[in-house]
Amino acid sequence: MHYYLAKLPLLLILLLAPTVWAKEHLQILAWDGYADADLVREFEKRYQVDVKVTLVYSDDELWSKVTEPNSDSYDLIAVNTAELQRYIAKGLVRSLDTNTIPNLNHQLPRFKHREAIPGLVKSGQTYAIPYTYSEMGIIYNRKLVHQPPESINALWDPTYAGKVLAFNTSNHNFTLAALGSGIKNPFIQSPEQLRQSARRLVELRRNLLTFYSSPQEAVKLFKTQEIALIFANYGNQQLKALIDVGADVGYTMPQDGTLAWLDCWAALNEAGPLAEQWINFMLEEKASLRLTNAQGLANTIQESTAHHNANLIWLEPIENADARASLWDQIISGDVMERF
Amino acid sequence: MGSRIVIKLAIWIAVLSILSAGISVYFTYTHGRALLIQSAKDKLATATQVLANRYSFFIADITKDLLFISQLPAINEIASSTEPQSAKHRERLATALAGFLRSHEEYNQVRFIGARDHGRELVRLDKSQNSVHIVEGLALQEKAHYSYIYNTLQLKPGNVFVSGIRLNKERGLLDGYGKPSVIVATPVYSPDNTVFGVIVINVDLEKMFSLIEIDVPEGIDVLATNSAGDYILHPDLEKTFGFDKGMRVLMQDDMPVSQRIFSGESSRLVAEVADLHSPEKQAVISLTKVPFATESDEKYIVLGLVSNLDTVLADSRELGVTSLKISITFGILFVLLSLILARKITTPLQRMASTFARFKQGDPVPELSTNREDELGQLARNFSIMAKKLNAQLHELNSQRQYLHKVAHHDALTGLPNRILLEDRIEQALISARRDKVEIAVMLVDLDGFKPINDKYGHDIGDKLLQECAARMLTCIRETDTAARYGGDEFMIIISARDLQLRGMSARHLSRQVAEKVRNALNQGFKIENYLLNISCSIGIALYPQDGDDKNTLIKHADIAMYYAKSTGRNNVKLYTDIQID
Repeated sequence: MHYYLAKLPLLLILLLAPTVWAKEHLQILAWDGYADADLVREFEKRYQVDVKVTLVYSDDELWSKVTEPNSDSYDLIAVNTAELQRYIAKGLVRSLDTNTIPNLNHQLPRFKHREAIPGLVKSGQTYAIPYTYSEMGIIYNRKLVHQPPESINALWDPTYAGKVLAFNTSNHNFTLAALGSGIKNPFIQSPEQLRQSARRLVELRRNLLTFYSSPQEAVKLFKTQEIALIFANYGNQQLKALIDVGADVGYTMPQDGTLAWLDCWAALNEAGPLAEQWINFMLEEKASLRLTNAQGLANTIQESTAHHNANLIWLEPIENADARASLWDQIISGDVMERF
Repeated sequence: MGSRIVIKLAIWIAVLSILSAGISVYFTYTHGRALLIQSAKDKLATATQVLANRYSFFIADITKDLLFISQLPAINEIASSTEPQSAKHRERLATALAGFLRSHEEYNQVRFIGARDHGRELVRLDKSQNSVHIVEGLALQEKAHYSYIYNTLQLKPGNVFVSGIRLNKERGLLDGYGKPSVIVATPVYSPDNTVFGVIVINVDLEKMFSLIEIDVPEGIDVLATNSAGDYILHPDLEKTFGFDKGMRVLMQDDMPVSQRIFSGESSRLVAEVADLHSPEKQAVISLTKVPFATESDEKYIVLGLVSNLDTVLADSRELGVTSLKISITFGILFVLLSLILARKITTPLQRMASTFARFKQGDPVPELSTNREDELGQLARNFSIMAKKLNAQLHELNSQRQYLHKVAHHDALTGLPNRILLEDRIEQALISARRDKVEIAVMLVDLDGFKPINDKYGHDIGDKLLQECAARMLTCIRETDTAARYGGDEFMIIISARDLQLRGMSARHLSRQVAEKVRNALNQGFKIENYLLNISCSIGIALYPQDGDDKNTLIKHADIAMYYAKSTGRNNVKLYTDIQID
């Protein structure tokens, strides 16, 4: 009898084993082109895990996916340094164990010195690892625009009325509007400044054909409609997509300031050590070069040739994302000027 | 033996009937199953076509509604007015459209949008909880940046634009936000032939599909995808509108067979796939491409029905079970019939067999069921004939055997036992004498003067004399004694008068009596063919056990005694015992 009792725990372990040993899951929120299906499969095979990648098309979408009360529990997000700050502030992301990411050593020196990049390190803890970056310039149709636009305000130029594509997002659009109207700190706007920017954005809306969300959507619109200017939220990635389909386009950095983003991998609180393994995997040459070769995006292990070091304004945390998002909802739905 | 045939026959018939039943059940099942699946496929394909037609008619109806609205006088008034914002015109149109919107439960918004003022809505009616709201003033929005406006404004009068099916993300629509919808629009032209605006109907896709699917039977799932394969309708809501949620779920990935539709290889297909709800089960899918006749964000949508094969397979199982039951019933019936049949065959066989077993040589031929007309009757008749022949042959054989026996053991002339039989008789007599402890006498009788008679009268007369002598000798002995011809004119008599001996008479005395009787009988004259002949005889007697205890000794001693009798004057009787005493 005692013999059998002694075996009971073993039996229980065997019975529970399938659940205990079931495959680990990794849920990732990322942007188009960051985690190609074949790379995901390779990772799954190497670590015997299941990876689910959900794509986002705007910072608003990323935020709402992470903060939705009954959302899936994600492990990793690809987020820019500015947006990252509100995730840290809300305690949504955890610090990373950099010792378990050996490929950090292969990064370029300026990405290795994480303390020098605003917002990555808080009280000695690293919260995110840079992965890719881009400036957000203006793509112009050489057939319709003969002089590369020098200001962001070209998007408001009635010459191109109905031939402009803007990006469907709240945060950058308000920053852009403020940049164009000469507000000193476009990232931190007073309520009055936000209202002014909203009105500017209504004007922008009235001047454009439509807002796009994905690089492919912009390509499709460029092919089917008469498009003069595109605000390139995805930077070089988008430029490459257009050139790949034979579009005769140029890319320019407005003199009054070109916004730039640095996207990083960050782990949400629920994430296990698999998150670090994923980041390490993404910093391998294969994944990083794919970013550049297939998407036209910069990576952090090779010096970029395509990226202009013009008057870049790296994204900074904004004053009130919710306020911008709710105003943006009104703008995109078509509310009239009098409403702002 | 008969029962063994019954068992064998029954087993064979049972095996054959079960085998044939099994084969018929198998074919009924597989063929029936294939037929049922094919019929399910056909039905599903038809249903899908019906669904597709209904979808097309539905879009056509919306188109008609749009064109009808575009012809409304109130529209014309606004389009030709110099003051399009005039409240009076708009009110009239709103009233007309309110009734229209109320009567179409699948529409959740109807709008008249001007081309001017960045696509400002002129008249907008929203539905919320089935009541119609007329939206006024600042709530009217600018929509020029939406594809259904900038695309429709480029259309000719009477043409229609159909938007891609997506989740509605336009704020302001009370009931519709986040709901799958399709937007249908047509341009409105002013009298001077310039485009004035757009009439837009917002269709609640859930309601629309619930109307389209109205008579799709339970257990059949409806699927729909856009032209890229993204699900817009799927029983698992998680899979729908993936493109609006950041994670595309494509039908081609779920069901690779559907790739043929999206690659343009075919515009409809029917295939067997895993069931949507429980992948271990089988299902049939039917897909059909529904192209848009009008200007559209998408070239086509794909509609499909998925029916799990549970009912079909249950039907085929039932068919199988029914045919199995029938087969088993008939199998049992066959086994019973085979038992009866076997019994019918084997009973006459058994009767015949026992008759054959009883039949012995020489028995009268038994009466069998020879009047039967079948093989058994024939068998019985043939057996009767065979038995008769056998009897006749046996009879003949017996006579021949008896004859041969007689010839071999008897003297042909006198009919008396010959020397062979005699010696055998002596042996037999000795065996019983030894057993019963009685005496026997061996007596040798030699005719005196036979040779001269034979020489004088010829062999015929001699032979007849010998015959007569034999006959006279037989009269002198009892039936239990044996008289035999021993040689030419020599006879031998064996006397074993057991009964007399038991009563106290000695063999010596008895044999002497018989010998005297024989001597006297032969002393009488013989009349043979007119000749009167006289002979005598000399007789020697040897007794068992006194004179020898074996055949040869006894014969030898009888012979010695006979010669002694002859030498002492013929016509005499001498016992061997006496010679020794002398």
